[in-house]
Amino acid sequence: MNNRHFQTAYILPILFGLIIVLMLVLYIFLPQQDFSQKENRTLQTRPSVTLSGLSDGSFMDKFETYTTEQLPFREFFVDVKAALNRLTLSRENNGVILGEDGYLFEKSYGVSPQLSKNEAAILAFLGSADRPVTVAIAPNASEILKDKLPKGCIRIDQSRELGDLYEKIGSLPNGNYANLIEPLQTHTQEQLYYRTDHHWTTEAAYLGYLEIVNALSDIQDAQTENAEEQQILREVQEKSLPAPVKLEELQKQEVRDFYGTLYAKYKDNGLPGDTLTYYDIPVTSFTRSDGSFDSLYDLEKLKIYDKYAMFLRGNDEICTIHAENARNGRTLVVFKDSYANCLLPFLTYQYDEIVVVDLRYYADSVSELLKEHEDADILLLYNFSFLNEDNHFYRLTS
Amino acid sequence: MIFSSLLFLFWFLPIFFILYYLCPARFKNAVLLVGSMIFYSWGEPKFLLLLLLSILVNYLAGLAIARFHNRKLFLFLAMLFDFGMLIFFKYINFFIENINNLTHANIKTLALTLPLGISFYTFQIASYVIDVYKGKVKAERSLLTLGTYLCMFPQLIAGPIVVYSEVESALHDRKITLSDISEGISVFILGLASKVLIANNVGSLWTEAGKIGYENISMPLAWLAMLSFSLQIYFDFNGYSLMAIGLGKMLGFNFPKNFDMPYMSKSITEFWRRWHMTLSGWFREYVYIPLGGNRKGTVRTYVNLLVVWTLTGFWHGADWNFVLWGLFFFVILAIEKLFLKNFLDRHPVIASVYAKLLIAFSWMLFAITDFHEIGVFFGRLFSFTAGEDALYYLRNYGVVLIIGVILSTPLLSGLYEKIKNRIPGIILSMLLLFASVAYLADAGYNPFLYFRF
Repeated sequence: MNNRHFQTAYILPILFGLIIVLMLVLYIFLPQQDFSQKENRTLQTRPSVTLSGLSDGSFMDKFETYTTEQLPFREFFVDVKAALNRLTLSRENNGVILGEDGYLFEKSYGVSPQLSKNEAAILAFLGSADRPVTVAIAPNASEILKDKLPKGCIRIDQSRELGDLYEKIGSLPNGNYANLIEPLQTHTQEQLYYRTDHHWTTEAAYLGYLEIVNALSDIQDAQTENAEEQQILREVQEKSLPAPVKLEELQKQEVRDFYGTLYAKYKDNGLPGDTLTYYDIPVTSFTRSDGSFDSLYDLEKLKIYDKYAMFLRGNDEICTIHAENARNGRTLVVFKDSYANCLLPFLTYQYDEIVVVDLRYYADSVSELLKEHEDADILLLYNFSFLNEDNHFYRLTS
Repeated sequence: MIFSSLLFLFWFLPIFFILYYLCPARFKNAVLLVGSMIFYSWGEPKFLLLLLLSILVNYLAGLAIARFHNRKLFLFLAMLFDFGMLIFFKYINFFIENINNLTHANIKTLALTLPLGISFYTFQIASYVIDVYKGKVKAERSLLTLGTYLCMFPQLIAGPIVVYSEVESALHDRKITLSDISEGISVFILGLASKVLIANNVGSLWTEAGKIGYENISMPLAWLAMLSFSLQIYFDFNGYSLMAIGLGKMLGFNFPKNFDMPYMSKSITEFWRRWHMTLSGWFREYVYIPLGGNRKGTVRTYVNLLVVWTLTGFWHGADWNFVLWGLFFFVILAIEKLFLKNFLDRHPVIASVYAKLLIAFSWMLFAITDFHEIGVFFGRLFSFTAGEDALYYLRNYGVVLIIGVILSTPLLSGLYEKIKNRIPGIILSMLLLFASVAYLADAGYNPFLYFRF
């Protein structure tokens, strides 16, 4: 061993030792963070030792999660990882892809086996329904903005998949649909999707709304031999739907610096934020499982990271909107995901009552619910990627 | 607990090493044993009992072999216990399923999980008892010392397979020098970076090819996926071995090298001298040579090889594809032994391409469990279909793949050797540690590949 080596032999053990001991001390003494606004999720804090936790291993699992989620300077390290990742020329981080013009996309691996199951559940629901059901599936950014995806990126041909689905729906007596792809495709000069979030914008939702009102009005034209159904149709015709509300008639509100879910995963601080738009729409009451409100929007959410959650005040198992914008006494029952949250306010101009059901959280009988609302129109409003992945559609026939 | 976790780095390491270095020499084995037991039982406490039982049984067997005349019986009993446990926990459901398939019987499979590291520690403790029987080592009188050998956390769950004779003297008396610690730390960090920065990154390409479905990928993407798995398994496995060797040095042990630039091999024969060297060494020492090796005539030699390679394949996992993988090597090694090796030795360029291709193909037999899927994948490898999908992956993984390829060659080893004990080497270590922590902080993909071993 030469002298120089002997001297440097001190350095690494001291440095490494200091670092790991210092990190341990910081773990113990730094204040813990129990919620990450940026990622919109709760974080695991240091679990306390219990006998049952030790014996069933849950303490160990929690502790391991704790070491990741309470890592000192975690956000800094996470940013470093994103930066190193970009340094390797990668345009993907945590399953989110950076496309052209700062658009972020969710990564797709193609059609999932769940899709055909979900489609079968919808068709079964339509087949057994006692009245027309309208299905509207919103395409995702990767379909409408496919030109902005990096070359060679795997994506689903949503137009084709949905075309096939609508064909099957159209062949059922009670099947009715609103194809949202075309109205969106012809308006790509507008901002239809957030750059940093997986939702569509309120502008896109409005285009979807026009098409859905059109489809819901089509129910009247449906032909049927069944006397009972003809009776229903006559009643429907008597109360045909009011024309869609015009955006110019509504007061527009804009919120800047919206950084959505995709941004939270991709973690590139250099990307520009989005502007979130909503329109003032009066309602008489909005009843949720967590209380009754006089507005569809939760403006408090605009102060936090997940601003999109302001629409309909976030997802809920079942909630009811009462409004006096249509004054026709009609009811709509909607089964939906979060894409619907920024669209449904517009539909208060067609229905005085809208019952909003999220099957992820609503576990009661759907047929009982529909019996309660026997005059109501029925709408299924989802986005494609939800249809491709969610596994609660079986509840439609419960 | 796995090495490539923040829990290990910032909780286990500082607490354990403070205690280990501060305690007097005569307590070091005890601290190491207790620390290792905590390390081992962190994930699955119940299998600690099995491990402790295994220590006790083999400890007694070692003493009995040394003491009594009926040595063979005790050897047999110990082997029966060791390999009985291995077969029970690892292979019993595989046998049941196959019996069910063959005879249409309906035997219920057992709800078993594989005890962590059982394949590694069974081989280690078996080496001890066999060596006592052969008189190569003395029976260990201290239960604590033998327990420390078997439980030692660095190599407990993913190798290298350290046979008792290699660490016997260090178990009784070891000196820990500052330069050993320094070297241990840099080797550990190298292994950590290998696993976290390279293996995990290229590995996700392979995983994604599976998610897209082999039937949907283009020919270029199939080749890219094969390359990425080949790099993943090397950097992951070698990463673990390096971390173990580094930690061993920090504890005062010298563990054997486990990988020696395997992808530079110019034949499969050479590959198995460079890949997972402690495993092939174990099979040579405790299976091939006891069977007679190559000293009992040509036919017997090939039969012995067949046995060794079937077992080697099977050791890697209780599934037919691992047997196929082992047999694949048997066939190639036999052909090389018969005539091909001579040709390869004379044509180094062809030999190098040949070896790389066969190694990569073999990994596909290893990585894909389902025989039908193996067929689909090889179909894609030679489908002559173009596709843009590879472009996307080339862009996202190209740089990491190139780094991986370069680091699989000795291109930079010389440079590393030159700087490793100097300031630039220390800076490199710190940067690698920093980057590894950053990747661990954003925990996405960090698989443990050896759960089937």
